Amino acid sequence: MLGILLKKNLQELFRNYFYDARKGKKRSPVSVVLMFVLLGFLLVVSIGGMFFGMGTALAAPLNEAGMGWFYFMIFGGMGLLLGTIGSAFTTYTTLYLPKDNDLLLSMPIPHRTIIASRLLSVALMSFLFSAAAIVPGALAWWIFVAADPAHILGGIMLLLITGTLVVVLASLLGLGVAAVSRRLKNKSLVITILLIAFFILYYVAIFTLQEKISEFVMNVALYGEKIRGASFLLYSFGMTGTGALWHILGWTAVSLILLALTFTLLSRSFLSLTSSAGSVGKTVYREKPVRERSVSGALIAREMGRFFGSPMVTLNTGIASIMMLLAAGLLFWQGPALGEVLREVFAFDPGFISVILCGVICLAGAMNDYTVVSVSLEAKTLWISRTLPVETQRILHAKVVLQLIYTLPPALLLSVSVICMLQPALLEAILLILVPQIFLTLTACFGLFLDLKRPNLHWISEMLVVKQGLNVFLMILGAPAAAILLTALYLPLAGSIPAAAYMALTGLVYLILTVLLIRWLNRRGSALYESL
Amino acid sequence: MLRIEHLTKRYGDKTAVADLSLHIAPGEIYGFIGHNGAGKTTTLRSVAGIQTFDEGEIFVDGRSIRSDPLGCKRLMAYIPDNPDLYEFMSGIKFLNFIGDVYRVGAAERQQRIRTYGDLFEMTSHLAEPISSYSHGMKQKLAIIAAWLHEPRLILMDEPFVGLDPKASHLLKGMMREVCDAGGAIFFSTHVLEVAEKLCDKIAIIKQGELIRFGTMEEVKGDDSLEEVFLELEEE
Repeated sequence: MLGILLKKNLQELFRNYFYDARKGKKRSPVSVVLMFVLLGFLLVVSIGGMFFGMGTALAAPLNEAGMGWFYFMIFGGMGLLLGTIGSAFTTYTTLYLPKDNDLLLSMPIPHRTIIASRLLSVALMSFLFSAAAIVPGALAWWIFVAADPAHILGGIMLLLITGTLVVVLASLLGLGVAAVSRRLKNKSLVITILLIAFFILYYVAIFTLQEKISEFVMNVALYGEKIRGASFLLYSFGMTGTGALWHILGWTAVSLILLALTFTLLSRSFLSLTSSAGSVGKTVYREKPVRERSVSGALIAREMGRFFGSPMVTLNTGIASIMMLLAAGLLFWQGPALGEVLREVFAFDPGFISVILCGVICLAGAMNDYTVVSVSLEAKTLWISRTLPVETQRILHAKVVLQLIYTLPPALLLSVSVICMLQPALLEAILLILVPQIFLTLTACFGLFLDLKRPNLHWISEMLVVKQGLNVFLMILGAPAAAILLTALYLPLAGSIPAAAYMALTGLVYLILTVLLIRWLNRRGSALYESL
Repeated sequence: MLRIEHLTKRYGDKTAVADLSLHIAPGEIYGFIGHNGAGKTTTLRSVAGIQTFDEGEIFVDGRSIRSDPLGCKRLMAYIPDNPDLYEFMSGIKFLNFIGDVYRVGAAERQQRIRTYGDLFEMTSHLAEPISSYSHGMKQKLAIIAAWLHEPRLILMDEPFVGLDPKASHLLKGMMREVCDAGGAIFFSTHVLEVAEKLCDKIAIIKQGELIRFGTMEEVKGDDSLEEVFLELEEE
């Protein structure tokens, strides 16, 4: 039975990779292969490359200091953090909100089997995110230090143990959210706030941990033994990566026991959490004067309702706004000191700092990606849009406008905080504002382009669209890659072309691409939407 | 009110509707019956402007759905067989959204929401999220939304499925009122008794082709509609 459910989950997960719903036929083998190659390339280059670089720098020094356990503790910890953040926002939806709940519960399938099949979906994401940190780290160790069977076994076991722990953490969070949400009236809002609080706390913890790690790396010999004695759990966790058998066995046992306990807890509470309405009181309707809105206003409000209607959609497609606001606050607070350091480092070309920070703002804002899921989320309600007496362009514009509403103001604030910190020339300051605004308009349009080209209108859980869709991968990896690429291109040109001129040129390229995309959306995009 | 001329719709190699022609005059309730997969929903969706069609033409009050889709849609309302509505909205927000898009004035909108809401005993539920509604409540909300802008042509796909007997009775009365006011109703149903009692005219579709249509008397003669339908299905 578990096999059947798993097959169903996997079919749903990968359906859009192999099947073109718009054309109603299978994709060609060439297109499937190209898609996976592109996805793999983006994953390896953007995330894997970063951790591999880090591993390359740390592996040999830590090995020489006899601190291999610490190396693997760092990468295991990174995997744990990345995996938990990557899965935290989706477990509640994955476990409790799929649309086939009633169907499966009505069938002679034990609840344990249903929850097990869904946990495996959580595990897939958890292992994917954990692997993004641990695999490059382990590879760097194997290449630059040792690739003996013990270390290879250690690396593999570290990934398996970490992934299992991520499943436990994410599932408990999902369970907590489900239990709390039964008692809430404004579920979406409260869950969103709770998850954001979790997210911020998590980042504060990582930030603090990174500071400690940096300090520790600088004083390995001095603190090594101290920490080893003080925190045996961390030491033991790191030792698994080195292939130490007893530590591997110990952590394997701990992670499996935790998983079994979590699984039992989830299985026992599954029916009550999926079928109970909870203790929420009924909202009483009181007639109020109607506030008429324009057609465009109504369409934007509808998109806003969809955006805020699900914590998973809000957080996964809008988290960058919070990050930009936090970053802006941090820069207003710590900006002058940071500005001095940057000016010293980039004394050879002060304009370089503007180009880099302009790229950073573009990169940060590009993580907001509502448009890339906005068509797919319409799914079975698409008939409403199609019967409305409204031009299709206006429906598409509303999707783009919504993303710009919650992305551009935080980006503007971040630009202003950067300007206050750097105090650049007037032209550079204007471009620091304009270029990110144009780039983020471009990414909003590009997201919609992707979703019109490859919509997924037949999902059972919205997580498949918001978190695991190919379009989302292309967007969250591709858009930042574009921002980084155009910043990196300045590197060989630094000194030979003024930063302002380069930024203006970049802005112009983005602007032209934006105009072309808007034209496409108005013509071909509208026709595609009408054919869905 | 509605003129369908030589409508043909294909899905790949399969022809869902073949050369279908139908004329619905103002004041008529037109029933559309046929077995599952006969082409009823495809026809209704083509008329509603939800999907394109390969051949033929559809006119709503003289306007072509191809060349003036927005003009046609302003005159129409469509209720699908499964009322999938915006679950992230409350009932009242959904109705106000429809009111805004169809530009229904505040006073008229409020009055109609009150009237139809009370009629279907939905008023007290309007502040609740649609996600908490039962199938029948969603169906009632879809009906209120469809009636909100006073359309002249209403298309309904299996409108009585999921409705309680009282709501079904109310809906039949509302359908008659629309037609008495010069509008028209085109709906599909499997409930032959309802079709027999309610419809002025009826069309039977089989494998995408219209096999019989006309007034109730022309279609069934002295037999019951059920007998005629089953007989035609077996041919």
